[in-house]
Amino acid sequence: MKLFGYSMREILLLKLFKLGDFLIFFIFISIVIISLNFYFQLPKGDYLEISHGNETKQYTLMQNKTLIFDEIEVEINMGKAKIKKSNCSNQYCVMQGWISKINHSAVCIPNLFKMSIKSKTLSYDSTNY
Amino acid sequence: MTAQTINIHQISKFCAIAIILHSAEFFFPTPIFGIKPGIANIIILFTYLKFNFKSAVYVSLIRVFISSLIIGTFITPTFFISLSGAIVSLIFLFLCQFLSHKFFSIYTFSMLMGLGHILGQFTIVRIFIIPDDGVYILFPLFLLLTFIFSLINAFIVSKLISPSN
Amino acid sequence: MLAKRLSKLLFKYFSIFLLLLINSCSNSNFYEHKVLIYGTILEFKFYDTDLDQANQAIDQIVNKLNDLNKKFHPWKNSLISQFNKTHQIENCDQDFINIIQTAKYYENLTYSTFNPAIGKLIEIWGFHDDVIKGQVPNEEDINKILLTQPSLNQLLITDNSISSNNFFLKIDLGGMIKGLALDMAKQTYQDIGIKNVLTNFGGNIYAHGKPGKRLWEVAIQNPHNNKLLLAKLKMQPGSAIGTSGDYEKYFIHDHQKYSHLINPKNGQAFSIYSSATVLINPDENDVGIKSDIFSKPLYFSENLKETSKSLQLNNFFITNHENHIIISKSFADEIIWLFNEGDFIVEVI
Repeated sequence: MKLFGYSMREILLLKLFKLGDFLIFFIFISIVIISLNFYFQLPKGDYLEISHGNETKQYTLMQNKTLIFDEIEVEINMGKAKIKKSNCSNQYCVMQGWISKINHSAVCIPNLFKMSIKSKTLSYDSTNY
Repeated sequence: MTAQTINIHQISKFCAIAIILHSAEFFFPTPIFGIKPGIANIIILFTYLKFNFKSAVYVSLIRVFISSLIIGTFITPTFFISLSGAIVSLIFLFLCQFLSHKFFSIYTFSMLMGLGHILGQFTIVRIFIIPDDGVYILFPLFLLLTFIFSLINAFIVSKLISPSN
Repeated sequence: MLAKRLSKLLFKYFSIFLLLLINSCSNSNFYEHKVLIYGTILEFKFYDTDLDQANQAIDQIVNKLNDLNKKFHPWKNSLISQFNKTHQIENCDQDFINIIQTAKYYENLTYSTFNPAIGKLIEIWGFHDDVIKGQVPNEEDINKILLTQPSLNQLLITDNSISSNNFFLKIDLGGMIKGLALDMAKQTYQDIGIKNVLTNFGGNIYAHGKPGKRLWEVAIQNPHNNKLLLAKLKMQPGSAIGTSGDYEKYFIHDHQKYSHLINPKNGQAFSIYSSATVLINPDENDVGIKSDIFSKPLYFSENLKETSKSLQLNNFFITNHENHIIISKSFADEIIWLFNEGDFIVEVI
């Protein structure tokens, strides 16, 4: 394995980087991991927004239901949702699995399909009381 | 020519290159929303190494102002994001001067400048553009990309300063 | 030299350029304005509207509401308060008579479950006062009023006067005034030519047009906690939504909550439900008035299905004190619940 034309051995012998650089790299990667951890602790979303073609519709997440769009099957299971089946060739969308946190989304580009979890703090224009 | 005029001549040349890189970046298509490698940072770091911190400040700020005029984003949110990124990045560069050159190479410099850049940008975005904590979702992604691009930028700088290559 | 070497290097190491293009936030086309008018908040949200036109509309609506207040305030120097004292007024203009006729029409349509003639009941419950005293009237007084069956049908209406022989009849249009205001606002928008505006008068909302490609979106407050939201809804252009609940004006006496909504059938100030919400479809007339009035029969309804059927109401839901929500089928498909899991149980009928 080589990095910028240096072998692993040369890198470890501090030819490319100096000792302090490794410290900075370590701190940097730690921040990434910590913030990723924070990212996974995000609150759960409240509803599912599905855009299919030109249409956008919203569904409550608090239900057990299978929604069928022409080529795609979406499963909602009490707070989480996933693309269950799709006719696309690489099946990336199916591989994404369950989504449940705010602003997470699953997309199937060949079918122009996008679903994302939204939060209730999302904008509204006025309040009825 | 005195030494000073040579200096100004060189700095303005660097400014011109920084402006070109900065503007070129702007017009490249974006595969992922809001991400650029910050190649202009190469010049800032190079200026710092070749001359001094003051010259780097000149080049960085002149680049932000002039290229925003060229792109047409002067006094728009994009401009302020760039400016705050550049300023915080320069602050980090200033602090880097106090690091021991025995233990820290330009990779550290580049890394910390990149970090400063996104910190400055995120602050402005969070306060003025998208006043929602949702923007922090993008933070780990930006941090990771900063890591990668800073590494590459620093490598380019190292190639530029060592004439052997 | 430097530039040459740099471009070579860049070409070598960057195969893809990614860039920062944080969009400058889109220009806001919205103009919001709030007015406090006889203790009620009147809120406008205009979209893509000329500022002068918007202000003109606001001025006209505020003037009309002040005029309404002068005529219909149930206990403070108004034509109606004068009627409530003397049961005889003259020199009424045509608009005034028309509004009384409308109220009468809706009273009959709802089989008196919305009854604007029970001002006396509201008064003895202590809600005809700026400060709610919080005392429960005795059963005898209530029964005396109920015995006379106060109704707008007991009014003698001529071209310019109204009078009545029932001295327990007091007119209180509080149950439809918000809706009336929304319909007046609608008329004003049509006259001026304003296309897209959301009007909220004391919680009742009328959606005029829509903001660009999306629809107006409104949140519905949780009846048990005004800091939480219960649901969110997209409003079709021209539709109106209204909620009646026991949380607006109420007092608590001996652990029982008494609200300003009085059941015209038994004169009591409580219901098994805590709120009733209705959405009126855009193709109907008087959307504003209906959104205000129709929530009352539902709030006191003993049989939701029958009541909604008699009102030809498809979109409604009610909440009760045990955190149950009963919602009509067509409404259930449109609404997005925002309450926390386990806070409410939803039942579709």
